[in-house]
Amino acid sequence: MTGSVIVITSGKGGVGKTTTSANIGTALAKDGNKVVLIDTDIGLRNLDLLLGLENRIVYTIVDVVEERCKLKQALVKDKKNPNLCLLAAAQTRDKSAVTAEQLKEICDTLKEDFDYILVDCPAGIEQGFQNAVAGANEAIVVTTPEMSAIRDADRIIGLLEAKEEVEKYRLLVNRVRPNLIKTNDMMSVEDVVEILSCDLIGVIPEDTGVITSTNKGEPIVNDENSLAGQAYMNVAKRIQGEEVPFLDIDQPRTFIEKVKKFFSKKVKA
Amino acid sequence: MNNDLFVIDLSGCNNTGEIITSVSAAFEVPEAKERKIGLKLNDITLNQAQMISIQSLIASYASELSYIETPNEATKNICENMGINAQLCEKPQTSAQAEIAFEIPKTFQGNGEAESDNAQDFAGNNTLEFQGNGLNVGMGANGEMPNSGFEEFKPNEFNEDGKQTMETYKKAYDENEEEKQTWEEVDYYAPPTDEPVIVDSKQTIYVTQTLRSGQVLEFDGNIVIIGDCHPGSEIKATGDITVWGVLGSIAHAGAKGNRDAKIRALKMNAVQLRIADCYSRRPDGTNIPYIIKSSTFIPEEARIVDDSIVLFKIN
Repeated sequence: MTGSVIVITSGKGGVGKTTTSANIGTALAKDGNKVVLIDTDIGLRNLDLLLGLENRIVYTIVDVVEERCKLKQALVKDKKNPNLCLLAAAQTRDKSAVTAEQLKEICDTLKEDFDYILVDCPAGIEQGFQNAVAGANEAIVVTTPEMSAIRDADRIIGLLEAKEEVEKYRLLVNRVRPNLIKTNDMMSVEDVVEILSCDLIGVIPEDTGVITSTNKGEPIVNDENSLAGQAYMNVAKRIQGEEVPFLDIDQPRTFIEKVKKFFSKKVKA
Repeated sequence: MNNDLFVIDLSGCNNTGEIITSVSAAFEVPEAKERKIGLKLNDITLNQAQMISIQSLIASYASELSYIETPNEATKNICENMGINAQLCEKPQTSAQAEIAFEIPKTFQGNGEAESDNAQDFAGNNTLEFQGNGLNVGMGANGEMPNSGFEEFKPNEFNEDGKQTMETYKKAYDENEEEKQTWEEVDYYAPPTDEPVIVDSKQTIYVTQTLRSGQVLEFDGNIVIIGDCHPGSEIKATGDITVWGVLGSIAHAGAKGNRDAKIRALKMNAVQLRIADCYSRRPDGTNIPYIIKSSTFIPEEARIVDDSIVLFKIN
């Protein structure tokens, strides 16, 4: 078995890399794939919190690299889905504790046993980024429809293009607010794609449920009623090669919105 | 080091815990650092281990415990065995607020013989109520009157020296230790060997600061933390761990295989507890915020019972 190593990166912080990693990982595992999530944000780890696995971590990626344990011992199994594993980052060290070669070696070893290896990249373009990208053959660039995030994403895409190992990279536009796009207060997804001239893998709407799911330690894809959760499920399907139409993120959420939309349709007809 | 004696009045303290908190609090006064320290104790019996704890606490502030005044004869004998000048005094009055004549021998000079006849009385007008805990801090300087700048001291203000880093603590102990053990090479999670590892229970480190995410405190001995331990930090000790605050991090007691080690905290919210080769984790869904605003603390103690870690309430 040779799995694919996908790095999830953005350049800018706070755009939702870790949320995306946790949700895509959970979604891929729900579809029956064997998935391992690697947190490379050493010193500022968060992925374990989002998955609710904070209390289960005994060994971290630094312990593996420094040969205090075997790689399999350091993989933390998810509470619900046995197909999903987490390789946590150490909180008490910094990015220099792991080198790019060591991470590549870990990815190559994991490739034999897993279908998908998702690498959660830290913000920035320094050592942490170089480590995370080292073993990857695919990349998902996360951005939000803001100028600052787009500029950073552009820089990241430039760096990814320079890497021969990264075969393809795709764009994920996060925290999209259809209401603001309608009033021309936010860039539309089409604009973002045009600026970055990059393939799109998904559009995730802004969802307040993400905050509660983060605090609870349960990825939002487990909530079937959530629009953001559905969007992440679709991204996972596209990663697996299925052709899924983009979700209509301008869906009415509340009852009043539904009534409004119903009547506006009638008028148009 | 300043040869003048700095006297801490502990006659309001009735147990070791109170003494330790009072002494730590007294060291927030910058004048207390790097000088000889005198303690005025209540009628309590302290054993040698407790005396060493107090001594090492004072040593961590670069000061030296050189004089003890106690109404208890057993305590006095132990102090003398340890090479500390000790003197018997009368039992203090029952009221903690009572003004006690505080006597300091005039000819007292480091190792010199104490002579109580030439004592100077400077209680009353020169003692300062310290945080209202019944702790009085006075200052004696070979019979001279205390420094007048002392009154400007504010208890809640931290001076720069008070914020010591972990490295400073560790360094201070590394220098003192004659037999430096290779602590880095130990496999913390390894099962205990056939031969039990005897931990020197005398070695104790005191940390008076909050442990934040990413900070690691390792010590070959016991650790006492006066402050909170936030999630993401780690405490490793070969002996016991005591947290005078909220324990919300990973704590590993008896790291070299001492299964009798214990972990105590005023509020136990640890992500993981490890004692020797035993491991336990916090139940899922109990991620209560680590800063507890209410004052309801339930002190708990973790120890090994039949190969698993059990929490006991401390009364």
